[in-house]
Amino acid sequence: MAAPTIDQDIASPMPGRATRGKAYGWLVWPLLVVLVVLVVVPMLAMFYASVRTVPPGYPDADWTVQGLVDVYTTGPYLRTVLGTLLLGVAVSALATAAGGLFAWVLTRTDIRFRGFFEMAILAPLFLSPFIGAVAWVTLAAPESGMLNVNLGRYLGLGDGFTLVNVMSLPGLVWVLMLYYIPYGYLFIGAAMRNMDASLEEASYLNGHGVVRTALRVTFPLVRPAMAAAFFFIAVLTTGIFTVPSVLTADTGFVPMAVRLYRAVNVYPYDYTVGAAIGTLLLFLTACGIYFYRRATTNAKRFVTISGRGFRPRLIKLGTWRPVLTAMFFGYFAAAVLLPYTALILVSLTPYAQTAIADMSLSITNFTNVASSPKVVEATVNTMILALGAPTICVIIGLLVAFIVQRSDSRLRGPIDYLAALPIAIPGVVLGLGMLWVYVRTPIYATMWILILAYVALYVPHAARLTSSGLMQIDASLEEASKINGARLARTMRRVTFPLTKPSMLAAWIMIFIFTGREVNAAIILYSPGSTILPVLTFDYIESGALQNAAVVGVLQTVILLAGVLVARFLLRVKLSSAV
Amino acid sequence: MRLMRRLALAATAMTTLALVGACGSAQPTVSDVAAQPGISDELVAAAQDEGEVVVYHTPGNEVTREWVQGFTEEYGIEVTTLRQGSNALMERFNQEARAGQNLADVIYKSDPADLVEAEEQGLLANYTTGNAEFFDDGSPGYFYPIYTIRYPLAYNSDLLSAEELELIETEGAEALTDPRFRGQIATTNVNVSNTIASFYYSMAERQQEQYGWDWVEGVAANEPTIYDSSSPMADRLVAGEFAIAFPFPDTFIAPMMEAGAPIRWFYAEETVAGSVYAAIANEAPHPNAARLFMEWATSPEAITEVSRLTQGEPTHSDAEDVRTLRDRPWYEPPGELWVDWYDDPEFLGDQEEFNARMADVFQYTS
Repeated sequence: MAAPTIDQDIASPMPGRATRGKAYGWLVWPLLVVLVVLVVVPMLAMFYASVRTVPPGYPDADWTVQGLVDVYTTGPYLRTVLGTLLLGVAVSALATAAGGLFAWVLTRTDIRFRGFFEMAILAPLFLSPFIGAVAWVTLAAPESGMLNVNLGRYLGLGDGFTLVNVMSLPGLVWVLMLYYIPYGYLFIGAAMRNMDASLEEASYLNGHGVVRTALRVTFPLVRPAMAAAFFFIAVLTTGIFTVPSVLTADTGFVPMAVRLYRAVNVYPYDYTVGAAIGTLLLFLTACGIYFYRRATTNAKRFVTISGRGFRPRLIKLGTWRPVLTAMFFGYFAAAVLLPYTALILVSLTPYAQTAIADMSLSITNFTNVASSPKVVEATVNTMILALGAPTICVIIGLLVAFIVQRSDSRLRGPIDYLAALPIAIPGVVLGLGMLWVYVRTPIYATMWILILAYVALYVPHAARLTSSGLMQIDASLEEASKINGARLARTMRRVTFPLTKPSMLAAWIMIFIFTGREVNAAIILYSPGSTILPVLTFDYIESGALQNAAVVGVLQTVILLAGVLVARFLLRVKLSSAV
Repeated sequence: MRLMRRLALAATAMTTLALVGACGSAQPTVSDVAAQPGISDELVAAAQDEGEVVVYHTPGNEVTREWVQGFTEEYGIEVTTLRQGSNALMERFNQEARAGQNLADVIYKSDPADLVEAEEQGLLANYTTGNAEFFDDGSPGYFYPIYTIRYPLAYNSDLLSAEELELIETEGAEALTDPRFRGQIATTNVNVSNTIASFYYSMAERQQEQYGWDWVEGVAANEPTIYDSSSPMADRLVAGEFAIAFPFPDTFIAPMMEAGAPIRWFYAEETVAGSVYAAIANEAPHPNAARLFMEWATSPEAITEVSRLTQGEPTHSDAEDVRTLRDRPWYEPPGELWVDWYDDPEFLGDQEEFNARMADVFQYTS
């Protein structure tokens, strides 16, 4: 999931200045059907499955509410809910605070290497949190992690020294925080950049210092952005399954998304309970999105952008510069350098070795695994998915944006809402719903079911970005085309598409990246011929082949980085504005 | 306008149906695979026409990949594999069968209890391999043993002191209740598979004099890490996360040991034993390729090769035993074997109550 900018709702209000044309019924109805099939039908299937004694399609099915009663009212599940909420609050609070601090330093101080640091903060957005968690296990498992083993040895503290333990609740919070800080930075940084600096200037003129101004003027003005970041990150944390499944084995804590996965994938199976957990998870994330949207709506009351030009005064850091510079380098090291160095090292070992002095490094295992038929097939499948899903998403997104902004159909509101709805649906929940809808159809066990799932998950981002682009185009340009006799298709091809190309490209690249790293839905829907790299990584972890998982993780990261580099240098897409 | 709207809706629905219908691979008509045993030119040609065989398996990905590569090299037929844990694999197989989505051609797994149940439900094909007479295990006509597995207790020799090593080597499993091993042990949730449950049942109920529930509770008192799967537990043992781990198939850790990992193991006085079996799915989408694969998998050459890769004892009486494990100075072969645990009425009858008591002793959280 990605972060919208603070000045846009997910479901954007219809702009008053656009001149509305016809209803375009021949386009509206098919689009509505597509969105209903993509989004609503799987959710209905999940609700249905939560009141049936066996999964859809099984014989001897009967009605039951026992699953819902167990999940919504009994102690073990309520404790899971409480634990999941506390996890969401902890990760959100820390990621928002850290992201806000980074945003303030980069927008309000004279820190050096500003461009590099912005890239460093955003880098984790383009990497997989799941791969990051795997890498942190190799770094910081309590007895065998590289940091613990090598520091213990070289500091003479003996075997069994544990500096950090990532296989713990604080470890889980730490890893999630690392990968969600960029969202906090994006929300709050955008608000700080758009703020009228004269308010802070007035504070300085009245004799207040940097800290007092920051605490009494700057941060209060970006409070809605902070609230939006908080709830957005909380929704992400609540719905993620892969990172907790890797890190919580020793803790006794099982977050809701992991409980859902286990209910349908680990003996003893209970599909009814799994579906019931899915409904509860959906309810929680929908609540989070509701509060997120209220926060973004409230942001309009805090608008300080005025007609005058404004430039904030850059605070001289002085002796604080090395400290804050170290903070940025530290974050980059923790989020990117350390884990990926560990991952590369492990991928070059024949079995799990973590003492650097004892490592038998060789390219053999890497090349054997990377060239194996299964990995090659998974790479091809990943590319099919990463190329196909964004293409379909962008087309649907553009059609949604067009209908919402250019048509006078009474259905443009429901279409807008449906296109935004998947933001609130965790990947594992959507995957489960889609499994039950399509298990008896020809698209089960094919790449198509994965493509459909990913299109459903990411159509909100395509709609948002293309809507932003379309909003900036004066409708008179399209009207001029129509007045001169061009039909809608020609007008879109010759006028609309070329003008919205930058936003379409940004949407395409962003969804390419998110598709390349998403695994929560795929882990439910994959089959022998449709395995993708993230699923293969998960499978290697489950089968105890961490070094092979590291090889696949490195390959997956290379693909994502290639996409980022093509976007940045070939297509000139500003990726920070895309997420 | 209303007519246009209705026409648009109908066109969309028809297009969607056509798209869905055209997508993916249609399930071929599957014929019964009962046929003359052995490899004929007709069978090879029919299998090559099908072009693919899909194997659902529980043994490790890399070992299985290397083994089935031999089939591809000999017949030019691609082998697509899917690995999951024992219960998850059978659940997927059953679910797909119920939904009419038969994807698996061959099931290749341990835990014969699942295969017995699948046979009773008519999910396995009745096919007698040309090598049937060379096996004395499995279910003739339904599933055949490929290599044997035993369930030892393993340890990372780099993490134990000389004193601890000596204790283990002299006392064996009884040593694991010693408080000095607190926090150094990992084990698996008995609900993961019937084989895991049978291991603990053997220790707690069948070997009451040597071990019994006192032993089980002694191990639990050492606060072991509980895993939901043997596979990551073995990897963490090799990495050095803990010093002792059990149970998992010896063939799982043997390849790691062969690669240089400091892993050793020993067996309890009675050891749960079994095999990894192969069976053809009754509604196999590539029935001829499945038969050819079964013929190849049960041949002495293929079994010799898989024995070499996994260090599991070969099951074919004409296969060569090329295991290097037997030459290791620390290796002691298992003594008494409990092989018919999956059919044992006492174990099966007590299993639910037994698993509940184990959950209570170990305080499973999942």
